Amino acid sequence: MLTEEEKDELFDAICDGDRETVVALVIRARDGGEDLAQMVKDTMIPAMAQVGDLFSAGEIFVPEMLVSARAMQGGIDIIEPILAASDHEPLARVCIGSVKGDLHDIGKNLVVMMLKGAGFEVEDLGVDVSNEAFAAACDRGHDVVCLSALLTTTKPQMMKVIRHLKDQGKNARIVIGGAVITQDYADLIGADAFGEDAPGAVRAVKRALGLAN
Amino acid sequence: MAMQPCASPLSGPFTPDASDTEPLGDLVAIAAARVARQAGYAALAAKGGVKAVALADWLDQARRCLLALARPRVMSLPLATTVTADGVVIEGLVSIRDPSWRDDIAEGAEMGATLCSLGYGQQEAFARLGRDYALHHVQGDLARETLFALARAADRARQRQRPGWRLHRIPVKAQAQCGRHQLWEPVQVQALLSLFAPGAAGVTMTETGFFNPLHSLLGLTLMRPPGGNGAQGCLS
Repeated sequence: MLTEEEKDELFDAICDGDRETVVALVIRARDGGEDLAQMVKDTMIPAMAQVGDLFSAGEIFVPEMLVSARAMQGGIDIIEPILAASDHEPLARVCIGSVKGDLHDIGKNLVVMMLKGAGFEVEDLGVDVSNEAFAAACDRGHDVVCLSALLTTTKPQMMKVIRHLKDQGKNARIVIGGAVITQDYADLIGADAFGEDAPGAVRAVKRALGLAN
Repeated sequence: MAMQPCASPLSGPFTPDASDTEPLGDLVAIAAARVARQAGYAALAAKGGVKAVALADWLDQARRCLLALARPRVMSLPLATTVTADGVVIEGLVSIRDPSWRDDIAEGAEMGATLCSLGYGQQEAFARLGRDYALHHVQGDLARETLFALARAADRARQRQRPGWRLHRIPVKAQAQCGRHQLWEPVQVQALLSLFAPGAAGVTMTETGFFNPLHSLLGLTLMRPPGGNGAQGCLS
């Protein structure tokens, strides 16, 4: 079991991007019989949430968020197989992709990291993803579909994806984001939520699922 | 609108290629220095400790990935131009609405297009980096700066072929937008791309305006002869 001081140390190590310390503490927790799911929920996810808040407030930049996300991932890589073997259920299952015609993945990749750091199971569908591939992902049990578009030229494709999923009777929540996307546009095309940046996408997924206001 | 034939294209073929630019290793070093100076990276490095160590390691891994995968390609073409009342038409395909360019062409300036590509796909890089998202992000930033360094090197090669001439980069008027930044007009860029041999440098563009491979660019340039009085142009 980790002491409270060690849990604080784990929290700080994630915020500081100290992957080595995160890995060492997670191994100690695992070997000491810690409730890993609870530790992720109580210590690790809040640490990444704090990093996300600092980013959204403009107090840190993308590279610093990346360092923290990678440190967090170092711990998750150890914990994930253990939780999977114990039938632990993730917060929700999310798939994400850049819509058809869009070849950029920068924003999408940041969202993947932040969603994983928030406790979601994420399937990355990649770039230039067809409507059919999004629908197939829904069939694999995803609760949320995240759509990314970088340019005005690919933005309209989001509406086509949403129509396609509705026509196919898919009930997954839809969250959209990207450099040219606004809340007004999300409302216009019937998306369930809009994320203004990577941490904002996490908040949007939670809103779409009714897990946050 | 009446069009006037204007200055003929360059008298000889102008085809600098990657061998006319600095070695890739030098370009990547320049790019790495630029990435390190970007606000987000500089702030991270300034914090020292494990963050600075992680950053240095990422940049090194990204550099090695890029050096292993990149097959830089550069192709340039002289462009025939026609002046109109409000600008220039390039090869009968692309309109640049700017009277200053029209005046420059009338005074003997020459237009050219340069196609640059790092010649590898981002999925290739992602796989090589062990599907590490953070590393891949840094690699993407480094690749973008390396592409710009390659383009600047191509411009320098072009200037070496016209000693004393001044080179200006011309923005292709944008309709596609990325946030507050106007980027490029896909139809016009596709028209320019069509002037190169099919599949030139392995570069294509989707109808939505994305180059494939992603780290590719097509630059439009104007070379002003020595002693010209042309207006100061807008640099892209």
